[in-house]
Amino acid sequence: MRERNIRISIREISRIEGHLDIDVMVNSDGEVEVHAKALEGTRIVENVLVGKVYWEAIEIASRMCGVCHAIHKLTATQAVENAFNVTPPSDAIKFREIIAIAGHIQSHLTHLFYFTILDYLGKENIFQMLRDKRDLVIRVINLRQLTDEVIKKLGGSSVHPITPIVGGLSREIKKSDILSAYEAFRNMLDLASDIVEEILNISIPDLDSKSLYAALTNRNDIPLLQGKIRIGEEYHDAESFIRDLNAINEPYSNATHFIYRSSSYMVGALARLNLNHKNLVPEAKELCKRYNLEFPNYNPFANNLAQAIEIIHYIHKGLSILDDLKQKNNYQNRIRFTIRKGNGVSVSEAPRGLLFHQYELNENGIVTKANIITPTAQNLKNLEETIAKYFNKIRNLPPKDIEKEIMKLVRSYDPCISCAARFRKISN
Amino acid sequence: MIPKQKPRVGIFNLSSCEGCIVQILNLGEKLLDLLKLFNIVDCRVLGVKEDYNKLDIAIIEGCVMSFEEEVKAREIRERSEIVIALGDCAVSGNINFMKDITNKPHKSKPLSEVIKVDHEIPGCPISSEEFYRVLIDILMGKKITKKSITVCSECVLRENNCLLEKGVPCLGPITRGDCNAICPSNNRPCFGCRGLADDANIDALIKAFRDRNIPISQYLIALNQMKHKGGEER
Repeated sequence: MRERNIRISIREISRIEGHLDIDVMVNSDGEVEVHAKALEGTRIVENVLVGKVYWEAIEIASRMCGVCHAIHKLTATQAVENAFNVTPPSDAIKFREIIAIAGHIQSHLTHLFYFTILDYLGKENIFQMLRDKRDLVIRVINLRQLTDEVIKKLGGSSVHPITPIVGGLSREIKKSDILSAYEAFRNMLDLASDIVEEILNISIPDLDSKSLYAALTNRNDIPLLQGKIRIGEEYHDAESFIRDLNAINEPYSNATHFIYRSSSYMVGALARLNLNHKNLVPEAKELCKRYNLEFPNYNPFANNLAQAIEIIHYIHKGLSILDDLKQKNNYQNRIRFTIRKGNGVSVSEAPRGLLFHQYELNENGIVTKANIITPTAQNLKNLEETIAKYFNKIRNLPPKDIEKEIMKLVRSYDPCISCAARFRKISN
Repeated sequence: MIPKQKPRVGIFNLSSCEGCIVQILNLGEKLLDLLKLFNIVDCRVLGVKEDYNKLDIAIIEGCVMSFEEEVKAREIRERSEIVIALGDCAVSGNINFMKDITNKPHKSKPLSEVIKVDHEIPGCPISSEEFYRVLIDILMGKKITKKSITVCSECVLRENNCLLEKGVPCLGPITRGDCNAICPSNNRPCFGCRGLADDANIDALIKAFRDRNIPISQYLIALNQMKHKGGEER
C-alpha cells in the first residue's frame, strides 16, 4: 500500500446522532481517501433479537434509535406482518402513517435547527441562537412540541411509541385522537412556513456531486411506509434490492458500509425528492419555485433544503389523511392473525432514508434470524466519496476551515451513528 | 435554597439510542426554564463544549460497552460532584443487557457497576417530567426519593382491564411505577423498563404466569437476573 498522510482528522463530530470520526488522507500520488469511522460502542441489536418472541423483538427493535424510533417500530411491525401474511385494517394503517409523518417532521426539525442551521449562522449550538434569534427558537420549539403531542397522543409515548402492534393497533381509535391530531397539524401549518423559509434562505456551498439515488416511490405519493424502491432508473421490491447490496466491513469502522452492486448510493430527503419531486403537494412545489430550488439536485448540501420542503409536504399530507379519517365515526383498529413460520422483510423511508427490517420466524413466532439495514449504513460510502470530492475543492483553505466545511458536509447528510454502528471489529 | 452560581451541567452519552436525550428536548419551552437555572457546559449532541474543570452535575445516558466507555465514565466521575444515570440503559443495561442473558461474561455494564452513581432516572424512555423534577430537587437540595408504587397499582387506579388476567405477560406487579402505567393503559404489557419495585416478589409473579399458562418472557428473565446480579440495590 502506498504511504498515506493523514491531512485532516476530526474526532467525535458534534451535533450529529452518535459518535463519528473523519480522517482525510492523501497518498504520495495526491489521491484523496476518506474514512468515516463509526465509533459508537456497538450494540448489535440483531443479536439481542434472536431468540425473542416476535412482539418482544419489535419492542427491542424500536430501541435502535431514539430519534427515529417511530419508523423503526413501524418497519419492524410491518416485517413481522409480512412474515405472518397479515394486512392491518386501513384505518390502522392511516393512523400509523400519521405517527410516521409526525416522527419524520420532528426528526427534520431537530436536525435542521439543533444541528445544521448553526453552521450557516456561525453558531456553535442552539443556546447561542437564543441570544439573537429567540423568537425563531421558540417557534421551532413549539412546532416540535406539536409533533411530540401527536406521537404522544396516537402512539402513547413520545419516544418509542406503544400502540402499533402486529395486526394494527393495541387500542381502539377514538374520534378524539383524530380531531386532536388534526388540530395539531393545523397549528403546525401556521407555524411552519416562516420556520422553513429560514432554512431555504441559507446559502449552501456549491458542490456538484451526482450520485446514484434510492428511495421509495409510488404513483402519486412520496411514501414513507409502503412502495417500490427506485434506484436510478430501476424498480425493486425489498427482497431483490437487498440481494444486490454488498456489505463492506471496513477495519476502521464499527458500522457496515453498504454499496449497491459496485456503486455507492445516497438515501434520504434529497434522494426522495430527486426521484419523487413530481409528487410534492402544490404548496411545496410553489415554495421550491419561489426559492429557485429545482430537483433533481446534485448538491449533497441541498439535502437540508429538501428536508425543509418535506416539512411542508408532510404537514399537508398528514392533514389530508386526517381529513379522510375525520369523515368516519367508527374505526377498526386491528385484525386477528395466526402466528406462522416465515420470513418477512419490510422497507420504509426513515427521516434519513431507506430502512430495512428482515426477520425469520419459527412456527412459535420466535425470531431465528434478524437483519436491519439503516439509512446511515447505506450513506457512509457515499459520504466518504463526497468528502473526498469536496476536499479537493477546498484543500487550499486553512486546515481549521477545511475541518469546519467537512463537518458541515457530514451534518448535511444527517447521519445517525447510533443506528449504524452495529458491527464489531474482531480485534476487539 | 438556590445556589448563587448556576450549577454547571454536562450531558454525556455512552451506548444507547439517545432517546432519553431526545426526551430532554421534548421538554419544549420548559427546557428554556431549566437554562435559566443551570449552565449546560458540555453536550456533544447539542454542540456545547465550554472550558471547565469541575462539573456540578453530570448526566450520563447509556451503558458501558467498551473499555473506552469505561475510561470516559471514570473521567466524568472524577470531575463531577453529582452523577445522574439517565434512562434504563445507564441504570440497568436495558436491551444491551438482554443480549447478555445467555452471553457470559457480561459485556454491557450499567453505570453503577463502573462508577458511583448518585441518582438514577429510570425508564425506557425516561419521563421528561421526572427529569425536570429531579434537576429542580437537586437545585433545591431536596432528598430525591423514588416512589415505591408499582406499575400495577397505578394501572388499577386508572381502572384499566387487567392484562395478566387475559393471559398477557405483564410485568406491572413487580415494576416500579411513577409512569402513569402508560403501556397497560394503551393495552400493552409492562416490560419492566423502570426496574424492580422495592418489594418486588418475582417468584410470585412467575407462579402467576405459570398458573395462567403465560410463557415466561425474556423481559422477566432479564429482570430476575438483574436482581440477582445487582443484589439489593437494583
